[in-house]
Amino acid sequence: MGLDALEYTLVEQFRLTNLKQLEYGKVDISSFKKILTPMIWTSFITGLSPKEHGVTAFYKWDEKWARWLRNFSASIGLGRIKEKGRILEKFGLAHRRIHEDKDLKERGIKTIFDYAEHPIAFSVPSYNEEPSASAFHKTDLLKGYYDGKVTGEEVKKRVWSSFERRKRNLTETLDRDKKWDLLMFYEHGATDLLGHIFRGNLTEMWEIYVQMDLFLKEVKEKIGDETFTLVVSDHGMKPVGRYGVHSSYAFYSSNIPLNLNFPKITDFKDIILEKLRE
Amino acid sequence: MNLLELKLKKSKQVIDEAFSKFEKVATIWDTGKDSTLLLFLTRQTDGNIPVLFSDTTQHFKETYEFRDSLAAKWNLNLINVIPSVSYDEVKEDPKRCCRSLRTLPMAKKIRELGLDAVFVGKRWVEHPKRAQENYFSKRANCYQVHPILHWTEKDVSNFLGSHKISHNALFDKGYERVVCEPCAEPASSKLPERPESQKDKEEVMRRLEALGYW
Repeated sequence: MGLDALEYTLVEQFRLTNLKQLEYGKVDISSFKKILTPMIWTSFITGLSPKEHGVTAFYKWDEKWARWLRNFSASIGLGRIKEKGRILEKFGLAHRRIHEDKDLKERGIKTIFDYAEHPIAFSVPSYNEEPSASAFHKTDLLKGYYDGKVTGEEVKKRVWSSFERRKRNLTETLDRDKKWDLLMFYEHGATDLLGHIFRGNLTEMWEIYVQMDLFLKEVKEKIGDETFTLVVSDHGMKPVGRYGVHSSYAFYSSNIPLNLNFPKITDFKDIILEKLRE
Repeated sequence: MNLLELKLKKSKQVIDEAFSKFEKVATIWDTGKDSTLLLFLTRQTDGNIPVLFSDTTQHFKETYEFRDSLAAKWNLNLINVIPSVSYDEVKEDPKRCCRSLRTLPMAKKIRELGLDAVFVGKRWVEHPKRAQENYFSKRANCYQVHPILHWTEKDVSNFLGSHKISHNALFDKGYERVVCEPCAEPASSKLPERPESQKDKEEVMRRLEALGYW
């Protein structure tokens, strides 16, 4: 279970026994220059550094336009492509999209899902993320909140409605499909987006985290104790006054002993593959 | 299970854990809404739990009336914690006054009773300093246990209302919290539980922008 921005210190402070499982701790993400959601999750599913997997931003420019923009930029002696791309985007001449599995395949990169016989992925970044549930698209909602166009209560309503829909989808899949050997559920809105808005208010955060704790309990009741269950975040969330920004470590927990000591996010790929082989 | 039920369940878990972990426990009650809720919850596990009331001698008469009426109604095992110095001796210095009439006598009483833990009705959103608190917090003399950390002011009022638990009449007169009469402030001076800060907001937006959020 990938819970974006799940903060270690809050799991500890709230004494959330389901999320802690048998073994839990912090995850080392210090090798990442930027603490950025798609980049870190891609490292989790590939076991590679951003330099190796190539996902270094929230979005990917449409290839045709990216090539054209790069050439154009070079031909007129201009520097970075980012800002110019955004200007062209405003005129409908360029567009960005979320990273997809095909981008990794084009580079010959395998993910954990390639090693499973019957994998199921629920909106996993850089693999099959639902556009509406992606971090990239949710930033609009967050900007709307900071600009005062959307209230925190409205954001909460939208996030929980999306979470409930996806939770139902997972429950139905677990009831229907008994063949899967690797399943990854990923949630961004509840833990990351709401964390940016409410991190300074511990009661709000408790309300979010306790829902995640109960969610994991429900899932584990369905899949059984014998199923290896790993909970991972890509980074945490630290308070800045009433709001929140990414903290420089992530979280993991396991229902079986792994005896890890401050593991790197890239270490989990081999652990997952080992469990798949078992 | 709705959110208030979840909060209640968590509070009861913390209370039960404290009772099983510590031999000698008491609850601190200042007649305010938070500590009255806590008193109600702790008494569900132990109806005879010692109830420590800090009698600074300077409370409003409404506070004393509510203390006495609830103590009689619930048959409380009430312990009045009385200071050894008088108000007149310390009134010129508000910090010293609070320390001498409230903090030190309470610490002394906890030592005298040999308590392992006391229940305290703190909540995370009351003050930024309280956001650091844990459910179990080790202090010099004994543990402080905070079972209602995760409740909002509204949760507390809703719970007390739905259980028809009476409250200190000071709240009906516009006071937001129970304080001694000389230090009482008008209700309008109370800070909101979740203050907004434009500076913090700009700082967060700047950091997110640097990550490529927008």
